[in-house]
Amino acid sequence: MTPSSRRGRQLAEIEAEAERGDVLRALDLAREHLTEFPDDADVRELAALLVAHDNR
Amino acid sequence: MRVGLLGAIRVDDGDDAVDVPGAKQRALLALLAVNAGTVVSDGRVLDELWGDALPDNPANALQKRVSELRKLLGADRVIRRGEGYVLEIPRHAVDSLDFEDRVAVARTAEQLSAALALWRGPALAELADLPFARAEAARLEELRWAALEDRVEADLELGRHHELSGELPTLVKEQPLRERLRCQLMLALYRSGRQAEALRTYSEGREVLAEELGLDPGPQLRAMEFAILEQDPSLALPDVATAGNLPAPVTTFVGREAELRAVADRLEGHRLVTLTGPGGAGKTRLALEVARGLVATTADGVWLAELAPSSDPRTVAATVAVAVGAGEKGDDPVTPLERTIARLRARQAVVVLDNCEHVIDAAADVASAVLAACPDVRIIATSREPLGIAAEAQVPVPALGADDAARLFAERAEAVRPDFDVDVDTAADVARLCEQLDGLPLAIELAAARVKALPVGQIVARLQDRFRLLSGGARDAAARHRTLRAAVEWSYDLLFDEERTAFRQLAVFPGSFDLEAAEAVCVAAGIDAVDVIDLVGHLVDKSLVVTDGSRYRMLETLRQFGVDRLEAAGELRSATQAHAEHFISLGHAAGPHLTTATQVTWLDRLDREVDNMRAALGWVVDDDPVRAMAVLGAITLWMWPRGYREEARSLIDTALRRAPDISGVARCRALRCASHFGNGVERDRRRHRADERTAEALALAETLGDEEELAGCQRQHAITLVRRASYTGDLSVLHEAGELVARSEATFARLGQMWGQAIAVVVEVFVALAAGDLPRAERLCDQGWPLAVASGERFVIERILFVRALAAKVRGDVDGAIELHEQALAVSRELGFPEGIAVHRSQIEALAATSRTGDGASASLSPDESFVMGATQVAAGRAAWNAGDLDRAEALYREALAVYDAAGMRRARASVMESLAQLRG
Repeated sequence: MTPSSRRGRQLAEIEAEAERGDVLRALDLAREHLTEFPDDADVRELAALLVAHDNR
Repeated sequence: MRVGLLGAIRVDDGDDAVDVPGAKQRALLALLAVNAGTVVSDGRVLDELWGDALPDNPANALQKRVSELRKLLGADRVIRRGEGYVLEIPRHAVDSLDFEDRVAVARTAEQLSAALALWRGPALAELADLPFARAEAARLEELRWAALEDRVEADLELGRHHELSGELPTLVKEQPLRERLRCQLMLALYRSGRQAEALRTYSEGREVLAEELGLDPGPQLRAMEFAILEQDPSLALPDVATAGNLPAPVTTFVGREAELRAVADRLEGHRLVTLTGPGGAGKTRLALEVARGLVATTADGVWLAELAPSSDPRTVAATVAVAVGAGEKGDDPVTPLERTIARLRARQAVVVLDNCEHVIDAAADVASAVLAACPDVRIIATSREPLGIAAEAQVPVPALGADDAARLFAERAEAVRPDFDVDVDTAADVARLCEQLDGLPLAIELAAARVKALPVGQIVARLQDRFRLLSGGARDAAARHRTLRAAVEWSYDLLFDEERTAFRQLAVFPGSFDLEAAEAVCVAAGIDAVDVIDLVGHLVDKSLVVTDGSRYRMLETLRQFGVDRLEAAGELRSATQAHAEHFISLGHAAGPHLTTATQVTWLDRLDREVDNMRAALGWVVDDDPVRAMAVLGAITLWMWPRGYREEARSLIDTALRRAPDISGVARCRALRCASHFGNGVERDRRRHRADERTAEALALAETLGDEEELAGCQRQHAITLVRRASYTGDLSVLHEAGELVARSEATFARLGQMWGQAIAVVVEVFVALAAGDLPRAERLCDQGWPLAVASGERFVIERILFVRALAAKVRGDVDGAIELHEQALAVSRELGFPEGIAVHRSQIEALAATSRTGDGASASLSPDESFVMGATQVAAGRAAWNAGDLDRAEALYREALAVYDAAGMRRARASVMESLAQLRG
């Protein structure tokens, strides 16, 4: 089911990208997301994980 | 040969100036010169020169003076004609007439200064004992002061208040009772930061007025004092861009000093400079910046014509015409290009043709024609390729230099992240990034917009991935194009899905759009309406959409990318449809307002959406011609006054061709609408077609049982009959016209539709005028006036004021006529109705000239306005004839003749000639 809020939909999109293996895109989107929703702990946590996996 | 009256009276034969000997000889020269080209009777000469102290043999004395004058000027200059003499020299050879003519047409401070420089001293001072010379001197002196005030006004507009603060006190001392001059001094002092002196100037003025005239200061002076006390913002120097239509910049302009100089230099020697370069190179921004720099020195304005929304080369000329303020006027078959040229021919102007590449041939044609016909016009074009015409100088827009590129990045980055600073750590990254982006301003802006979420180092890393495939090869335009494309794609790929969807949908707008329209197209693509404002905001933050605070738009390069993506996503058709639906709804929503007091707000709103309306109408004509007719019917009262008639005509014709089988009310409306736009055209073919269409509509309406539609058809057919009468002279059709429109009025009255009733009365007024019954026309005006005012719709108000003004004029009430024309002019301006503006302006000028010299000028007007004027004169002529005043009747007929002559209305002219012949017989 698609989340009803834009915030929820963005989280879902970031997770989907991460699952698909496009870590870079997922991370960039997470950063964008956090500029708008800085208090989103879920995305912050996900971003931290992604950074850990980002070898660049 | 020049005669000088503005100072010591003298004659200048080209080599040197000769003072004229002898008081009587000077007086005779002055009298003939102020009347140059017209005969001054012997009686008047004797009277003006000798008054009661006539010489013993007046004829001899007069002949002697004439003979002396001939020796001085040449025998062929002072001609005996009838019972008097005429000085045969052109008006400009008499300095006082030259002055008057120059002032009448002067628009700039420089032109007014040049006219004022003709004065060498007090006019006709040596003849102060002669009444005619005293009166003429006083008149000229008043004109001089008025011209001086106009010049000061122009100087104030140019920001010359410091210079004026020095000059004006002397002038005010000389003419302490001239309130306008004192106001100007107050304003100049205020703008120079000398508020206390400005207020003191007011108090001095109040005292002088009280002492000398026992009067209080007039409203203008009091308003100025009040405004200064309040520090009213309206007193500030207006934007220099008063002439022209350049938009205010929304971001700072960085660097490009060398290019600004280069373009300005090329414009010195070339009248067409084309800025070339790939998309995103910053051509538009540079052109606008150069253009802004030219505003202060370009007397008649700098005009921007945005060609990006013109997908059809045929609309290029119309876009340029509207941009330079030469929208359609009248129905004469003048093309947009001809109107543009007529507007610019005698003007000093700069035209910016932006984004020419997709309509390059049409843009080149317009540019060559304008340059050939308008000697003081310069053109700055922006295009990916040159226009390829002889007069063109090209300035390729290069990449930004490393320093400018870094500055641009830093400024734009700071806008999204105020704490952003280029320090030793980031400087190298920024430099590398700008190099990667080929110094392309748009690419740099897109990258900078990302610093909110991504550190510069990360942006560099991401872009490096993208550009790996692009590296190598010459850094030519094609390479820069690839770089930009990659930067745009990168920026687009970094968007969330919903943002991408929104971005694609917004590319459907050919020009600018508001949030409501954005919502409409985004919602159709599945986006939640409440999210649109945020999504558009994010796109603005990411520099993919720009805004001036109220409306949004995409840079053309980004829009093209967006359209490509829209097509690739298979959404082009649905987005185009959603866009069209929104603007068709806007058209229908506007319709009812266009006949009420809120009409101006809606006209302006539709004007702002003209690119969108054009696209929507084009789509609906193809998709569903019946719907197209309905919406065109709803916005007729926008397209008619605001000058989109040719487009409306062509759309309706296309719709009627595509849906030949429509029937019922829809067909009626379409035919009525077609007739509206086809009417008023002098070309017989078009008029006949309009006649046929209203006749068909009326016949159809009579079978349908829709009262309102029938009443509309009756009115429209009555209009075509009145026009037929005025063009053919066949008055027999007026009876039918009168009956039809009376029925229309009665229906609208019963339905309680004030505007319908008011416009029907206006048509009845024209029926009465065409029938030569001025008293009835005036009575109908009185009857229609309260309805017109209550409806609030400007067109009916303007038409009634027009007829009342003409009636006042034929009664000889010049002041009343001017007042009414002025009211009608103000209403026409609100309406943006070009024929109204033209007719009232020319009438005010002619009436003012009549009150000064007894002779009015007749300007060339459109057939409808000419008909109303001519018919009023003829009706008044007939009334004078019936009353036995044959001289007055003849004068009125002759005025009608002049009006019809100027409009080229041959049949109406012939009918007046016939009346004149009968009158004399």
